[in-house]
Amino acid sequence: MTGRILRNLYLAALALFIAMPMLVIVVFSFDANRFPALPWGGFTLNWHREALADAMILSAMKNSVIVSLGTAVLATVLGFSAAYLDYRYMFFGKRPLMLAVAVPPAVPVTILGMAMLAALSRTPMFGTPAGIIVCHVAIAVSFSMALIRLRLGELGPDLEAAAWNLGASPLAALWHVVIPFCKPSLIAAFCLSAAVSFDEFMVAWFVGGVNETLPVRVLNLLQGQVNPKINAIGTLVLAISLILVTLAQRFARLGGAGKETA
Amino acid sequence: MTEASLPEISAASSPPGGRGTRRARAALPLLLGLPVALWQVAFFVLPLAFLVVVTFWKVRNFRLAPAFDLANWEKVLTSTPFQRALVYTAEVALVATVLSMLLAFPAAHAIALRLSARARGRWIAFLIIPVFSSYILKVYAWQVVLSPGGLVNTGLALLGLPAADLLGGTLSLNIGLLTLTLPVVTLILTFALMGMDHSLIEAARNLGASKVQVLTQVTLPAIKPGLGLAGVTAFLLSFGDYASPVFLTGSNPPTLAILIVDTVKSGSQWPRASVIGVSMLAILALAFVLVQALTQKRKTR
Amino acid sequence: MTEPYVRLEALDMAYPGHHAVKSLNLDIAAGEFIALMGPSGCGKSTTLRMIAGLDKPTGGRILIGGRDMTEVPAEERGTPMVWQSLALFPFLSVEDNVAFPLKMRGESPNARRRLANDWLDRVGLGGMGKRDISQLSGGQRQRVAIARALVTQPSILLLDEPLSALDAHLRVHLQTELARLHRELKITFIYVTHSQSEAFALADRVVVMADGIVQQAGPPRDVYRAPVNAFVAGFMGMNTRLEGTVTGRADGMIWLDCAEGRMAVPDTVPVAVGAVQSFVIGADRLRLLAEGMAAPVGQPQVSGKVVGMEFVGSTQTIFIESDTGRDFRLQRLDLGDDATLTPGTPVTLTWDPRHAWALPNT
Repeated sequence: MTGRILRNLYLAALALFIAMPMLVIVVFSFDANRFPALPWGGFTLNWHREALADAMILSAMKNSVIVSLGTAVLATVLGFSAAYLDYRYMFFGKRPLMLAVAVPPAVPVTILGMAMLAALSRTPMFGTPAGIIVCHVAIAVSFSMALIRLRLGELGPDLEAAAWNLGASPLAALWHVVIPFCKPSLIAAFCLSAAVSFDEFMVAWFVGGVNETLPVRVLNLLQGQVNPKINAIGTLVLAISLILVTLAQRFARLGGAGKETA
Repeated sequence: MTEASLPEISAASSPPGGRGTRRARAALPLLLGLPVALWQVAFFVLPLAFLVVVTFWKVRNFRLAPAFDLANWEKVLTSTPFQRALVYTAEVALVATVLSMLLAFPAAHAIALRLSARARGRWIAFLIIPVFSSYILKVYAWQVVLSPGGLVNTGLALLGLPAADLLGGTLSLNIGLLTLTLPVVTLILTFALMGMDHSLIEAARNLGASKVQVLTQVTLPAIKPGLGLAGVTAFLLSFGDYASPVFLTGSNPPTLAILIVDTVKSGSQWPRASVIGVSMLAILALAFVLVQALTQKRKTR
Repeated sequence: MTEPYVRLEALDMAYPGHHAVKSLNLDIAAGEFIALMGPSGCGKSTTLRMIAGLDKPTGGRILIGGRDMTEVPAEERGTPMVWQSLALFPFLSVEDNVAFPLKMRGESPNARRRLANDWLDRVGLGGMGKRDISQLSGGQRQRVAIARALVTQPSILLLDEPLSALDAHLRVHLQTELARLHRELKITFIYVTHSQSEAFALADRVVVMADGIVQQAGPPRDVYRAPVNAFVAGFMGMNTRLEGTVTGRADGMIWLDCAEGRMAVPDTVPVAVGAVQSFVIGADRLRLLAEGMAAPVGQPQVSGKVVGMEFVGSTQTIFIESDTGRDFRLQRLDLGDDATLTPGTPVTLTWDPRHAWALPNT
């Protein structure tokens, strides 16, 4: 019995530790104190208003939306290609290709950012949202491929073969059978890729140049004076991340049920 | 075996050949494979390869010039700031790894083996969120909590207690790094424990193993690959992290990631920054191989 | 029975929404080979798990060797088990698997190695100690599991469907080996199975369970020949069941009026004239009459038609529906005349009334 109580206490402490920073951001974005402190200084929406009036924050927000949407679309398409390739075919060079897709998240973003900056600095993409997108896709495709590959594992050997047997060409079977079957995981991959891109700040900081995304704006604000606007943007950023990740989980789980056949 | 039951075996034996020409068969995989292959080569493999190449280049008049010069390597590897940063970063990463494993394991054990399926599902969903939500913001939040005029200290003052110096030391650094590693490590260990054959635990008790013996002789060996993966992940994340050391210790002392950023942002010493980056990658690869070797299933002598 | 070695007293196991074991009483003698059998979900595995201390009963007591074990944790019971899944430790060598319980007891490495290898020799795996579990065949793994359970020289061995994952040939082979081990060790074996043939081949006594209740316990032959109710009769393969109105009793027989005619059954149950009584006949006791032959005097004669056939090795099972609409199941050696017994073929059945068995009325 005491074991049980201790266990639950420990789990609660862990949950609190993990949730604490996010709670602090959200709660103190509504605090009237200029610098978050106890006691609570009263409820205000000032910081949110100020943040939304800040031109740099607005432009960062615009960049973030462009970058994460672009990343999500491309990473989902490329992630599906890689997943289907891995699921269906055996070919020379498959292992290195799959490694090139899977490994990027395992490389520290500082090094990745430096390498991508070195490579992009001689191209016109440097300092543009497009430059951030191509780099983010290279990272996010790993997550996208993993989610879609899991779903493909549930496809079962017969469904696609049945389509061929009924006269569908490989491309037609892909379009009419495999992609509809993978739809939940495609949505999940889209949301997760968007979330990965939306939160990434090192690579975006290195290759984005003057085009800041929201997390880069936060990073730059952090290096300056204490600024209550950070809490306000933070609340927004966390809300968007939370929605994206929750959606990704919902759809990925839908795929996990593996009952419906689209 | 029918071809349908082994869909992954080979391209030649899977989808119908259309009208049967080899080109028609190869078209689809090429169409699917080329873009992603080119993309990853262009934006991941080549940049990293280029990074390696740059380590041998020279800087002339503030511009990079191709060369094959080992001077950068020699300079960096023998420089005291680099060596200090290397030892410090490795130390920090090891401490964070051990801490996160020790803190995560009891939680993962409870989540995977004690909680109901429903509570387990909720915990997993809860743990996934921080993995994909802004780390830089969370580091900032810890600054707010721990700083001299921050939440803890103003809270202490309200209670009439003396202020505590929390920011800028090992404590705040590890809090920041644990924010990064703890959710992932807990997730990996939870999945590893969920995946192990639970009848092994019962079998061990049936054969006379006490609770401690079950843990050390059965559970831990059974999830050894998971332990390895969790450890490598924690090490990798904390070894390469930039935000916590900068914002929670004020870059003092600097880690390798800070050295890289400073070197790159100051503009001139690309080759040296590359040397640091490549050295970090080499150390991570070494750590990975080492852990793999240690956690691989035992082979027959 | 003298003082029992294992005593289960009003043992009860209730899960939310499922009463797995209902107030079970059972005494097991030292050195006895007892088989708990029944369909899946009957509570036999739960009973075994409670004896091992893996599940905590919600009521009742477990005594082993006179000691109340109900509250004793699993690891202190000394009731090793052989699992259906085997539950061998994949990260340990064959030898280390067998030595595991010795290590838990704190035996020295030397003693562990010696004893483990003694046991590996004993189950025919001498010299394989250094191998990986994954390098062994199914039968070999089974032997490792048995050696691991016996290495501490327990006075009791629990077996939970240990052979059901093996193919038929290996199963028979390991069955003989288990019987040999039991003879040599003279310890109590409690064996859970859903297989009638395993239970009958091995056990001194079988316990048939259904719905968490012991339906019948006794030597295999007794249970087979004298089932106490329709469930046990069916489980034992006495699927042919008839009923009729009692007309009288004479010469140790009860006489009945059935839809199939006048029948006699050995008088083993108290009945009143006019009451309805059912009885069963073993599939191996039914015989087919050659065409045009009459049944021997005093034997019933039931006509019907073949509805299906099944072959298992040298025996065949013939499914017959009587003209009165009852199902009969007949088992006999393969006589090679099955060509004439296609579905629809009219046949006539008979049996020796002394082999019928009246089901006690409950």
